Amino acid sequence: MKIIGAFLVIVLNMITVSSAFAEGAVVRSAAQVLDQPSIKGVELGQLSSGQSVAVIERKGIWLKISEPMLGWVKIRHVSLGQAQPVASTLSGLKSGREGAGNAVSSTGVRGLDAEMIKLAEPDYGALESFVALEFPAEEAKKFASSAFELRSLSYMPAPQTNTVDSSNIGDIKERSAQPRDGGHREKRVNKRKKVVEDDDW
Amino acid sequence: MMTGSRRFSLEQMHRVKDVRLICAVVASIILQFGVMTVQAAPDEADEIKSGNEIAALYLGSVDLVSDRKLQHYVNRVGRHLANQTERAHLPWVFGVLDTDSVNAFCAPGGRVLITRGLYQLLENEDELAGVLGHEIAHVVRQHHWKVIQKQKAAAALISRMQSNMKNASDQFTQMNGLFTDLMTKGLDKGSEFEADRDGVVIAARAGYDSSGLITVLTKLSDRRSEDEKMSLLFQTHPTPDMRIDQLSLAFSPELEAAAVPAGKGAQFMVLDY
Repeated sequence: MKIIGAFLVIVLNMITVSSAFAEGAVVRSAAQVLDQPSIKGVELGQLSSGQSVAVIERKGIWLKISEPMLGWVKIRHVSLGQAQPVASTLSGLKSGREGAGNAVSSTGVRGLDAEMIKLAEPDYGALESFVALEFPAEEAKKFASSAFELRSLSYMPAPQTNTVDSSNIGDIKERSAQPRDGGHREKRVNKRKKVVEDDDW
Repeated sequence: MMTGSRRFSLEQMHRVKDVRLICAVVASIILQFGVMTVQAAPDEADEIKSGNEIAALYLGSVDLVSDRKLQHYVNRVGRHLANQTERAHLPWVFGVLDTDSVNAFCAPGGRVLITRGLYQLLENEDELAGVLGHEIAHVVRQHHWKVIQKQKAAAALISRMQSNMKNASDQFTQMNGLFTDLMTKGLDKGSEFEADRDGVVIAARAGYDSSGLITVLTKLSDRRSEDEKMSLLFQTHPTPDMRIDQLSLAFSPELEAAAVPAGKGAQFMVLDY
């Protein structure tokens, strides 16, 4: 029974994979392929930089790939921006995406668009009702103390990468150069550089 | 006796000099601190005032969802997140706008709005925390306020040069134009990436899943080609894939360890309309 069950799981998995839309992407840095979306997962194989993969599912910081093998990879190792269709049947998906950046239309828009904002008159009555929604800070603290486990975390520096649009690199560098937490941020930049060099996470 | 008394008085004089020096240093510190405090308060009041003007413009375009339970819930989550920041003292207010459009906005001083269209894409409180965390981060870093201040300074210079621009109504129109420009053109990409990075840290500090925002961006990435409800979002932000790319590269090991769903405190309010 167990063998039949396992066989059924494999068959179902194959059906899911073959019927799912896959998204082409390129491996950015050497990565482990694991059997589950967790660092506790078992390694199924390795991917090397520049290799093409087919992404079939995204889950938080994890990507499920079907090509070159089935498994889970951390999203940071894969460059989604360089996505390519993995099969001719997926060309529709790609062509739809290509037009997305310019998805600005002045006709048939239901909802809030730039034109509506440009024509808007400030509504101070609505503002008054809005401001009255303020939730007391102390009450939120009281609720959180019994409901959440708070974490002590520092802000993260901008990643040192050449994949950023060159027009923004200046902005990011400028911000990184201005520590707002007494130099702690800069220390983290150095720490991050080390981690990037090690590439062990 | 004379010599001893003179020596004593010289020591006294030195002590008096030391005391004077200490007093001068303390006084200057108090004075500087006092001046800083006096200066900070009106600045923040101006920041909140301009935030109110921007919020009034959003609310002049779209109403809030008339569901007090929903607005109360979003305010509780938002306030909990804002409490984890360096600007917890601001009068933070959160609201859900009644539109199908998929977007979220913020205004200086702690005014945050999310559209019903975006809210309905969310499946849990971790994702809501990711979205609100991003907007809160903009306010904490004063991204919009800094742009407004620069533009205000430029506008003031122009109005001083042009005598016919001096009357109050012209200045008001000018300010509204400045606000709507910012609302429709958005910030630079660097500020958006920074708000993504800070936003996930704020959410994780509050006990939420650090990958909540990435999950939402993934949903936006999947939907981006299909409807016009996304137009303003894409006009004012880098593409979701670009944002996922930048955010995942910045993730620290501590943040990766925090990529686990929040505990019992997170009870997402699903809309049945």
